Amino acid sequence: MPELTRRSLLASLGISAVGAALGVPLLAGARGSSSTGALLRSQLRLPDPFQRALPRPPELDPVRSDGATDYFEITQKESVAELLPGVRTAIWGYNGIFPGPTLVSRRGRRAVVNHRNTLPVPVVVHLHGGRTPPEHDGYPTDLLLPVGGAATNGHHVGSHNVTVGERDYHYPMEQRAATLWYHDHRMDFTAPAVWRGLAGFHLIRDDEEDRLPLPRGDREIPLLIADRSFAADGSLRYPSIDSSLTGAPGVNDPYRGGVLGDVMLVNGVAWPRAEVDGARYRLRLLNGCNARRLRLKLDPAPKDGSGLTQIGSDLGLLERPIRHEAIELASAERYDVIVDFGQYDPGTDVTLVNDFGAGRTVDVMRFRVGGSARDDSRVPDTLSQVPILQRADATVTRDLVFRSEEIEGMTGWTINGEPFSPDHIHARPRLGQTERWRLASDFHHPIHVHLAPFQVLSRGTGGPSAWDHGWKDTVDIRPFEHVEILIRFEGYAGKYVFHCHNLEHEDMMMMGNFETLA
Amino acid sequence: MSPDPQTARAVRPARWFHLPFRLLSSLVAVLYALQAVFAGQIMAGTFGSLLVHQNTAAFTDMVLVVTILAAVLQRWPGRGPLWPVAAVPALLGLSALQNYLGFSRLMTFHVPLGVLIIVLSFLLARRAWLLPGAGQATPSAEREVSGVA
Repeated sequence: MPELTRRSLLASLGISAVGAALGVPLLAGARGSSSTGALLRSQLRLPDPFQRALPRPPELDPVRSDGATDYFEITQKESVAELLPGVRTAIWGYNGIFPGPTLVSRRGRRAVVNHRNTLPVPVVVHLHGGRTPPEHDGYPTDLLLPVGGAATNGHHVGSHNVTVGERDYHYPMEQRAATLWYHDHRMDFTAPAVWRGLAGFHLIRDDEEDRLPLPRGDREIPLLIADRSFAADGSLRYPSIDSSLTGAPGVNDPYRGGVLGDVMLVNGVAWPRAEVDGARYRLRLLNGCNARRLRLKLDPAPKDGSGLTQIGSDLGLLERPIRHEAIELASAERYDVIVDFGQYDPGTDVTLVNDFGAGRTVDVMRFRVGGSARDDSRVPDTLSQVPILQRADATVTRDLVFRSEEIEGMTGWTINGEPFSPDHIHARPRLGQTERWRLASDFHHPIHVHLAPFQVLSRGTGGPSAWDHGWKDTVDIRPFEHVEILIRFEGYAGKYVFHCHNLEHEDMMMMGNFETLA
Repeated sequence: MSPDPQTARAVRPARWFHLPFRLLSSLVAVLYALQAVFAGQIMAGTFGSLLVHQNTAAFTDMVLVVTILAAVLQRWPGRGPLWPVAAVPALLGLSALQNYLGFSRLMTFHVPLGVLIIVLSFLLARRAWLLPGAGQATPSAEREVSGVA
């Protein structure tokens, strides 16, 4: 046995110390982060999962209709909801519910939505994915002030498009069938307002989609997945600098990178369960989280392996279905998928899980599969015609870098080094033209472009990922990733925004303007 | 005293067998250091640098393959040491792992391994230049070197 000298002991101690100093942080951070943000823990005991039934947001009937238009009315108000079983939680809701009521429009039929604001703060409504004239798109300073008029502290109201009490939003709906959603979009305060409940679905249907033998009726379910955190008194917990949302915007550290909740809500209920037939279902998945990215899959997987057959993206049907074992969704992205529960034995519990989660955020919801049932639906091999934009179609190329930077002594989120200003225009595309935007990021930045649909051309040095296909309005960019998109500008002339849909980043200035020219 | 011409003739080819290994291992070190430059540009949002980073990785691997041949040559017939014949393939192995980590976006390992590879490649180049040339192994070559100095 070798002799243990002082020298060899010291040497081994030294080597062990260096090994630990390098190895512990290397292994502890080995997985990296699937989302940019910090976990905000709930302060009450969280319930067991899968206790309450999955609700379906009610469809909102028009108050009237004429030959070309459906008229809807929504009141934005404070209310109380049971997000956790037995816990009363104050929310802000469209018609007082979270998610808000689902609006359903038909392609080509104008929707006019009257919003009445009885909340204590100004609001702005944006129809996400809508091809909407600029004055109705929910520009961040186009405020709808509360009924009676309230202070607009904390805002620079640089817009002439400010209304008091109520206003109409006009949506021409001249676009393909798709899963759109509407949510608050007020400058500097979008994240806390959406966190409190200002989000809902707006579906567009059309003849092309109606002709397909897809699951419908009870077997078509929109799922708004959102993480939230709760304070000890059952209220929604959020680290606002000013919780009245009328003063200083932003969040306290360490949440500047994004707020991640520890409770998974689906359609406003924590970890719900749903009884389903042994048949095909159409699930319209929406990542309604402020900052959390999701990787969703079914556990157990069906017998043939790939449980999620994607038929649509943010802006409607794909040309052909794509089968996925799992789907990654960044904030605001939508995936329209078919799940065939007929692949499972009756009585099977199938959990929708989030591979990117940890602890309580792994489980999302559970389906209990019933007996096999009559099912006339199927997924056709061809769903729609989707023209593929080519690199050569682009007449202009623009570089946009999304990153964290120091601005006047404060750290903020910038685009090409500039914080959001309503007066700075990054791009002036001509209507009818296609542009190539090269996007680069430092952290996870899901980039959303208003008005104009786009296709992903490349990701890194390769082509689009398995989840990048079809027409999109939001693209998930990962840390130090470069993504090229081809944007087709059409519709209306005017000023629109594009921004990071990590809502904390959006509120902290990661937004820019483009002005479409006729 | 001038070297015995016969010995010098026997030694000179062996010295030439060392030079490619020295030059190529130096080139590898420079290429790896350049990779850090391109990585910095990717992080700064410079479009195109990712492709350059990827192509440089592929080129470096090709240079490494040639360096393996050079390492063999400096041993046989160069009469140099055996360790480069093992060290260069080992570096190529690390490089392959590094490529995999990069393509898989496993940055938590890609960046530290990159730093390690740069350190190792500089150590390799340094040792390549410090190697006693096979020619120096003979008394006549030693004299020749001291005569130059």
